[in-house]
Amino acid sequence: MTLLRLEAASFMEAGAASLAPVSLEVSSGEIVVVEAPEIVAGAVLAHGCLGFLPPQSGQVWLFGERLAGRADAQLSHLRRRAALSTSSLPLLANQTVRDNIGIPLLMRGLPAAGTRSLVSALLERFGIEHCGLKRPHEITQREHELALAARALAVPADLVVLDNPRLPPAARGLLQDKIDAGSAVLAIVTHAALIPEAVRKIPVELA
Amino acid sequence: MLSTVALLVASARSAALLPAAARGVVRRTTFRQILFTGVEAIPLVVLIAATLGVLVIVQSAASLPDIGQAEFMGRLLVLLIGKELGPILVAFVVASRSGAAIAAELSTMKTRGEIDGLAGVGVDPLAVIVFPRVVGVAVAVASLTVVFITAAFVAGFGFAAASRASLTFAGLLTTLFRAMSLGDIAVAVGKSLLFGTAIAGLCAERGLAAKASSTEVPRMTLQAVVTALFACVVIEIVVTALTVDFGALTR
Repeated sequence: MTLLRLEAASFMEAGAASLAPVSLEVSSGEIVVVEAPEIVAGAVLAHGCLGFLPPQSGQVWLFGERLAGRADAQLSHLRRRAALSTSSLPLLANQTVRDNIGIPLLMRGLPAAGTRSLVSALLERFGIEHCGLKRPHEITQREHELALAARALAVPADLVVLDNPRLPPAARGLLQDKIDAGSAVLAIVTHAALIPEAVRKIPVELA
Repeated sequence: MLSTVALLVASARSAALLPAAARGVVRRTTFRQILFTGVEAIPLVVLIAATLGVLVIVQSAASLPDIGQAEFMGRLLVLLIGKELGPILVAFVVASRSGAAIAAELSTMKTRGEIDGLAGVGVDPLAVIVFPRVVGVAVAVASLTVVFITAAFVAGFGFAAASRASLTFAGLLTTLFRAMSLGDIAVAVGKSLLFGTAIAGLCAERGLAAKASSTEVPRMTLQAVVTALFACVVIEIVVTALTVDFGALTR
């Protein structure tokens, strides 16, 4: 089943980057890697995939629904099935790292006790257990990136979009867990050479 | 104004659909908002209330004959402070203080991308960020209005009893309870809840409307506070028009 489809979709975000038209499809149970020319371009594409940025041309379908012309309120039911991790959309500054990761789980009905233990396990797997009670301004940028990835991989999403993921070895198994469970992962990277040959890669260019 | 009403309705609907596990998050944020808006504003509110209570007594005592003063002062304080000035002055304090803080916080979150980041992991920002702030501010404004009225009466009556031998604190309190009706209390509390809801809703709406530039933060904050103050005046006029017996004015 196709979860995300871009059909010659180009994006432009003021102050960021302008992307040439790109076409891609992400289906259940697969990892798709997009090679972006620079980090900012990857963020623009990530925003476009979940409807935070309307396409300048072409179309975007998320879970079979066209995103064009829809307000945020109309996209919330689609975004509930997805999870996005990008440094351009940071953690909540007024919550601890632990709460930032836990809130999306609580919002999905996971009991508080279960959420606490799941978040603790995740923090340990990502090597940021010491950051749990700190707020985003008290951690490093790298720790922030890891917390964002942990938050996105924690929620039971059908589609996970990871912008420039640099996961520690202990956390990479989570991607396989997602695939095995029927979800899909779209990873946007700037160094595709680091990705195994067997993984499908799609290049994206600047406009 | 319509967009604010739509925001309030959408927030309430989103919050109502939250699973039980998520309600703790909303409760914590609501409690923190009540603490900031209500508890931390008590000293300022008490100061304003006490000053106003004494001023009303001073001005009315200077102009009134001795006979029947206690009855008149009680009714004046109930009408002026309890029903009219108390709720709107509290609203002005809250709009300038908490309204500005809510608008600044939400517009900063919006420009930094935190709101979209939350939406990107499937969390509805209205339920988690807007709804608890609206409830917290509404509860705080109603509570602060009670504090304001109490402080004004205590200060005013205390001053009156201390400055006029013919007046006693107990006597003034008796006239107060005679002058105050359940309707007066309902109007004061109801108006306060409306003020609080309008302030938080307008300031949240302005904050969320910020675009991706840091210059949006002060601009939206200023817009939010001015709009909130204006809305409080409009609400005051409408409620007064609905609750005052205009026939009595022409008798």
